[in-house]
Formats: sequence, C-alpha cells, structure tokens
Amino acid sequence: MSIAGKDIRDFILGQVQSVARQQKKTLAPLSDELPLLESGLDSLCIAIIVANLDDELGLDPFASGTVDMPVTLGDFIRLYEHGAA
Amino acid sequence: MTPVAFAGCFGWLHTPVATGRPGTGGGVAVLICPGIAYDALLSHASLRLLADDLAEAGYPTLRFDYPGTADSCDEAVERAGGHWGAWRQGVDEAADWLKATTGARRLVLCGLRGGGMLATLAAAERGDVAGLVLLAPVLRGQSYMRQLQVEAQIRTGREATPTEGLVYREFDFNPATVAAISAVDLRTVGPKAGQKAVIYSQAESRLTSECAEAWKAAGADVQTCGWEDMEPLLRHHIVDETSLADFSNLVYWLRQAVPQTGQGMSISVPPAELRPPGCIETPLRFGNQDRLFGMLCRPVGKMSETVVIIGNGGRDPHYGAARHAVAFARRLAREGIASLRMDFAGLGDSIGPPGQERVLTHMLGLDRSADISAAIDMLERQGFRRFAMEGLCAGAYHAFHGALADPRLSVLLLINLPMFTLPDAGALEYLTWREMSPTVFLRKLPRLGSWISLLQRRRDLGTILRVQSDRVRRQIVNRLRGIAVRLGLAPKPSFAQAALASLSARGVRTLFVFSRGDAELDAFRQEFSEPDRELVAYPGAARRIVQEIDHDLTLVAGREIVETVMIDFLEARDIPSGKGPVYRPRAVLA
Repeated sequence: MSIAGKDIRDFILGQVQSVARQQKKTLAPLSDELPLLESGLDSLCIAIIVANLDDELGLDPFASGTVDMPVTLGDFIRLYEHGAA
Repeated sequence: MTPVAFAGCFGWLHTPVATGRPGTGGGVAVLICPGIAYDALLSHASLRLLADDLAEAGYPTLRFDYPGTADSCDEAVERAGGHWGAWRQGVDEAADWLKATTGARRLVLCGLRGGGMLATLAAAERGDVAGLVLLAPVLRGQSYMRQLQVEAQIRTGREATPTEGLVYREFDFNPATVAAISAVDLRTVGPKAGQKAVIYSQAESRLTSECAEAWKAAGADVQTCGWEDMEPLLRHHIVDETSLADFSNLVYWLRQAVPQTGQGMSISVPPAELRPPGCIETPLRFGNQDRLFGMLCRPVGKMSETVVIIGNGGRDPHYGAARHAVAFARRLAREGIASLRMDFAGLGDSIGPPGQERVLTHMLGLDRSADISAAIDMLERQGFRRFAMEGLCAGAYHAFHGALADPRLSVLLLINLPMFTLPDAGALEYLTWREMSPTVFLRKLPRLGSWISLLQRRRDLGTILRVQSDRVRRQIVNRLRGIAVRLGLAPKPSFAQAALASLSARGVRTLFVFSRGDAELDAFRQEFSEPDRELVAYPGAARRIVQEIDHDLTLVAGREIVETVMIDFLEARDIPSGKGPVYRPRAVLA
C-alpha cells in the first residue's frame, strides 16, 4: 500500500531505522511480531516516528484519541495502512 | 557568563569578554530559545557551550528559561492564559531585555525544537531580527502535539485526548495552549524578506523543504544544513562521558550571514533574584574558580538553619527532569526550609574540570564529593548550620558517597538509589540489564525470537551473562554473610553495610525511597534483603516504597507524595513519639 508515491511499510521501517540511528538505539531484528517496546525504541522514539509519519505521509491515526497504542510493529504498520485505505 | 533575571524569567548572559569587547552597542546580539521539556534537558549543557562560542565570536548571547519552565517563575503562565501565550511573550521580553542591556540594534534568534517554532514566530513579527538559526525545529504544531500525546500515553499507560488539554511531564497544557500550538504551521509563516535563516535538520524531510521553499518565495535568504557534530544536542546519553555538540559550522554561518558591527560598551547587570510565591531564589557560583553553580531557594520571611542540597538526577541539569528539583525546592521553602539545587562539575551550568570543559561528565564514574563539600562550604558562609542532601538515581549515589566524605551532612534523602558501588560489569551494562533477572531471562529464552535476537547481538548476550553473574555472586556473598551473622559469627560487612553503619553511628538519618519495580530495588535488595528486619541495626535508616512514582519523578501526583515523605523525614515527623531512633540536630560545626 502506498501514499504520496511511498510504500507505507517501507517508509515506516525506514523511519524506525532512521530515528534509532539518531537516538543511538540498538534495534532488535525487525519483524511484524516484534513488540514495539522490545524493539529497542523507547517512548520518545515511537512518538517522534508518529510525528514524522504525520508530517511526511499526512497520516495521523491517533487523531481520534480513541486508538489503542499498537503492541507489535506489525500492528503499528497495519494501523497506518488501514488509515491510508 | 552572568546569571540574570527579568520579568520572572531566569537566564544567562554570555558576553564577549575575551575579545575585550564586553558589549555591542549598535550591533548584533543572539537570543537562544531553548527546547521544551525533554528537549531542554538533553540540550542544556550544549546550549551553554553554544552561548560561550557565540560570545567568543563577538556576539553577546542570552539563553533563558521560558515562564513556567526550568528555574523561571510560573505566574506569567496564568496571566497569559496558558503556556504558549506566556512563552511567546517571554521570547519578546527576553529580546527586548537583551537589546536594552547590550545596546544591540539587531538580533539573531536561535531556537531548538519547540524553541525554533517560537523563534520563527518572533522573527516574523519583530522588526529587529536580522537572522534566524533553527536547530531541528518543530515545523508543524499539530504533529508536535501528537508526538507529546503519544509519548505521554506510552509513559503513563493512560489515553490522552489533546483537545481536552494535555498532561505531559511537568506541563498541564490547557485546551487553548494545545489548540494554539496545533495551529502553527511554519509553511505559512516564517522569516521576512531580507532576513537570513539557516535550518539544521537531523534528516531530510519533505516538510523542511516545503518550509525553506515558502520562506525563499517570501524573500528570506534560507539555507538548509545537515546535523553533523550536533548529535549530542538531542541524544540521550545515559552514563558515559560524552562530548557536547560542536557549533563551529553554526558560528561560521553566523559570521558570514550577520557579521558583528557593534562597538564595545560596558554592560551592567543587576544581581539576579527570582521571587516565586513564598521564596527568594538567588543564583550562586562557587567552588574552585567559581566553576560550580547552584540556585539557592530560601523561604520568605523566615531564617532557615537547615538547607537541603539537591544534586543532579542522572545527568539532567539542576532543575531536574520534569522540574522536580524546582518543585521540591519551592515546596521546601513554603515549609520554611532552604535548598540549593546544584549542578555537579560538567553538568548543567557548572563548568567541567580543567581540560573537560566541552564534555558532559560521567554520570557515576566521577567522584562528586568535592563538589558537595564546596557547596556546603559556600552554604556555611551563607549562615546555614544543618545540611541535608536529596538525590535521585545517580544523585542518590553521589549523595550517599558525599555524606561518607563530609561529616557535615546529617540527613540523606535518596530516591531510587541505583547502586552502592560501581558494578564490575559496568554501570551502564548493569542499569540496562538489571531487570533481566535469571528467572526472567530463562523464561524468555524458549521464545524463538529471543534466541535469534540474542544470537544476532552476541555482544549483548555476553554483557547479560556478565551482569547476571556479577549480581548472582553478590547475592550469594550477602546471603552467606547473613547466615554467618545468624550463627553468631562476625563476617566482614559489605561496603554498603559498613557505610550505612558508619553514617548511622555518626547520627546521619538516611531515607531510601524507591518507586515500584524490581529494577529500582535490585541493588538495595542485594544488600538488605529483609529491610524491615535488617535496617533496625542502622538507627536513623528507613526505606519507603512509593507506588505512585516513576523512576525520574516525572509524574506530578506521585512526586508530591514523595516530597511529603521526604519533608516528614527531614523534620523527623515520621518518627512516632517515644519510638525509633531519636532525632538530634547536629551540633553547629565550626
């Protein structure tokens, strides 16, 4: 699934790696089953990624205030893919 | 650098003394607009260096705390109807104060993250801004508020709906503030025609490009640059000594874009003093060559003999994560007790040891006893006679060791003490992996993903094993020691036990406070596995677990509970009449 010419999954994975690099975090091998909070990212990193995705893709699935925080990386990606559909 | 106060805000004026031109009558001065909340904590010491570098390049530079942040007073927030209005007004007041004090006619505004947004809005409105330097600026308020909301939600586990306001760390943003920040989009407002601007970005982004294009179209001279050498501004280094950011490129840009044209003039700044409700706060420099800094907070209208020294929590500046040190200091003052929130050498606003001026010093590896004694020396000269020390995490570690070194400390308030001695496996390694107890470790391993993850990061596996073997060895030694005591033998006590006995014998009262969680209690449990029974042997020592707090006291409600617990202990209100150790104020030391 893509938006603004970007594949959402690839873009999110790129953001995860970019923010981890900026914050000097060591990432666990990325897979859909990986719990976000065991990925090596902390709450700040995840929040920065959410803000970047809003800025770059124009997607903000948390806008309603009723979305539960996704547990795994796969849940996180699907939340955005669902938002773009 | 000189501490200054204006309009209830605290700041530092860095003047170009080294060039023999203390002021810049008619020239250019720089106003640094710091980041907000966590961004401000991470960048505090680096921005001090930036101000030094700019001053050395001939630009008088002011860095300051917005109303309701860090050391500044809070009243302006209420007057302005919320944080955002108060911060925007604060930037204007700081700009006016800087011009009036230095004689500058033109300003360069330099903003980090949220401060970049505030600086840009000020540049768009003021007629005296020649240049704008933006460091990883927040460009869209809406996505920034979402960032804060998501972070708050993950940290607290509670849903946050920003339209109803947002509680984020020390801030309780009202709906008007959330709406005002969310409405800002710097693609539609930016520097004016003729203004020079540079954006330093951590990564290329569509939004940055769109802003730069929009500003260029409006006639501003805009440059975009990479983030080289500035990583330390926004990166959380937990423990190790680390270089602060290098601003050579930024200073070079400024010299080319907005050269200094002013003439020297003498600058006179009145002694700084803040007056939050019920308090008088005075910034003080002390220690060898006045390299150390602390903010003395005294109660209004009452002479306090007792003073509580508040050290750095981790490597956060003296005001503390989520301003907990400021909140505690002002609460103490309202209870009639003075305090000094201080920076150890090479942290916050204290200059590092000679040769280490451009590094953030190690969280645990540097002995801070000399800094603590220097603070007590200074406080004695101020007339204080009873000295207590509060410390959070690494601050607790240093307070404990400071009390062993300086007999004038008579009360210790230690929150989440992470260790008594540096572990063989390394402090960072221990702090990272202490939660991975052997039981948890073994429970996790059957998962295929855990094996793959560990095998792909073999170094981590080795570290975990080293940390765990160190922990297990300590536990075994301490249990054997306990058995020996019960058998009537007299084994050599551990460092922690001997140290606490020594403090206790001196009459020092020591309160250990922990938040909930095995990790926080790990080091303490290794030494005192049955604290209720074992601490009886150490008169004056007590342990409390406060369920409502997080590690670094960023949850305001829990923090207030801890403050009460500590004040009760400090005032010996926690000791029932006729029970427990008798509290005796220490004799006045010569």
